[in-house]
Amino acid sequence: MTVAAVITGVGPVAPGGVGATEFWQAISAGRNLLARITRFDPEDNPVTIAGEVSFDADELIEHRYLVQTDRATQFGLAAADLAMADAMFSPPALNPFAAGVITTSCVGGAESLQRGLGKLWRCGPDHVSPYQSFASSHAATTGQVSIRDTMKGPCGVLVTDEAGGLDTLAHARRAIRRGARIMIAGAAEAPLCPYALAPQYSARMLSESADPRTAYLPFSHDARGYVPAEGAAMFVVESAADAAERGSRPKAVISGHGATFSAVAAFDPSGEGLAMACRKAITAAGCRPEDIDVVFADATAIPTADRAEVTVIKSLFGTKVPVTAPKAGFGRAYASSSALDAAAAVLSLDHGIIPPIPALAEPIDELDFVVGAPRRAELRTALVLARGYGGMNSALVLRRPDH
Amino acid sequence: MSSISEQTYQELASVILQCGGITVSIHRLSHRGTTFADIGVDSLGMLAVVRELEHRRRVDLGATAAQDCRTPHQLMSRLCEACDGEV
Repeated sequence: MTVAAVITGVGPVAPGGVGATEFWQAISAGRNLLARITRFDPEDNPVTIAGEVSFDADELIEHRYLVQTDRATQFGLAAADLAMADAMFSPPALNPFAAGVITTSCVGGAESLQRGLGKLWRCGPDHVSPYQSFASSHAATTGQVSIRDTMKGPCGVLVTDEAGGLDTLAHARRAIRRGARIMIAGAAEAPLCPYALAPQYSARMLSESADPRTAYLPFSHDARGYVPAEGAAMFVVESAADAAERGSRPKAVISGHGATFSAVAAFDPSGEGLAMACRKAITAAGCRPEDIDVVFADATAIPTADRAEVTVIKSLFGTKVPVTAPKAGFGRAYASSSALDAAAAVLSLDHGIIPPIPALAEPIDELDFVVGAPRRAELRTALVLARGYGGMNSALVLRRPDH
Repeated sequence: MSSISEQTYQELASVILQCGGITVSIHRLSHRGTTFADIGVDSLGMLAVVRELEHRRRVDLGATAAQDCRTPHQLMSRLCEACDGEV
């Protein structure tokens, strides 16, 4: 029999909420948490609105890790702590070689890279920290979590843009099926620095609106691109049997995952790749489209990509399935965006409540968008969608465990 | 070689905190048996500590100081030599 992989701990670090309780309060209320960027002076930048995390690194991260990590990794370390506490798991594991870490990031440690380059050119090579050798690496978060928490089992790093947050959960499930006993999986991003944002401006996918209330309006006729955000979400994944033995309550079952690559220069406007990822995920979960009780949409607010996503949802599920995108309230945090969506879906299944899209006055289509207020619903199965720039598509089916 | 003053260990402690994020007492630092590994300073942290001392004192501790000096006492002795005993 195939081993069922379950999520026993959720650790979100998001604008508006550090930890599952705060995060859920923010998203279920449909609050808009977008605001003018304060991490740097955005005056001369086309993008001035973002979703920033209120985060006291000194309080949450041990000092020895602070000096050698980027803000992204600090988010990841804090999120891993939160997820493990939520799962009632204290590292190290009994067998450290059966405990692993798989994380994803799109931007990596761009802020520390920017600082290091600044020091290099301003002061010379002697002033660049030796820790710069890995602080800006995409692998840093996996490395630091595995070192700090003595996780010597299967470790890895994915770079698949926004799709990564879902892909890591699929990898974690695979590791559990191959014999790992506990996996930390998730995403961490801190892209709110000029060096990370500058290369994105020419693609014109980021919202250049200066009004936080209207800057990020996915599925709206007024959609003008997405608002960037920072944050992380980590999960504890283990087998249902191990969770039961530890007395840790499973919050969701990782039921099915599908990933495809459309090989395009942007977000696949055809939607074909996303549709195939959905079909794969649903088939892998052993369910039918009509079993899906809620869809957490990718919601780029790029008109062609929104249209493609709506077409996929409509063609597979019709217009009756509730569709939401809580990220419209706090921004699109690259790989962490889909990880935070997965966290939102897990909490949604757990509470029987769909968190809303904060505002959507004029939707582009007649889907059943959940807007403005949370909706109570009998939720058994959630589908989370994510697309990466360049054509990565990922779909994840999560199920409420049978208690 | 002159003896190493408490003030010098105090400075080393502040460099270790700045470069490695590790708080360590002067008492522990000045104990001859204490190693950097005991305190938790890793190999990259050693590179940063050595370089910061070189910047502050405007001396060259040698290319292999971070590898050679396993203990604070050894590093302080090397600093003492590099500064002609004036630390």
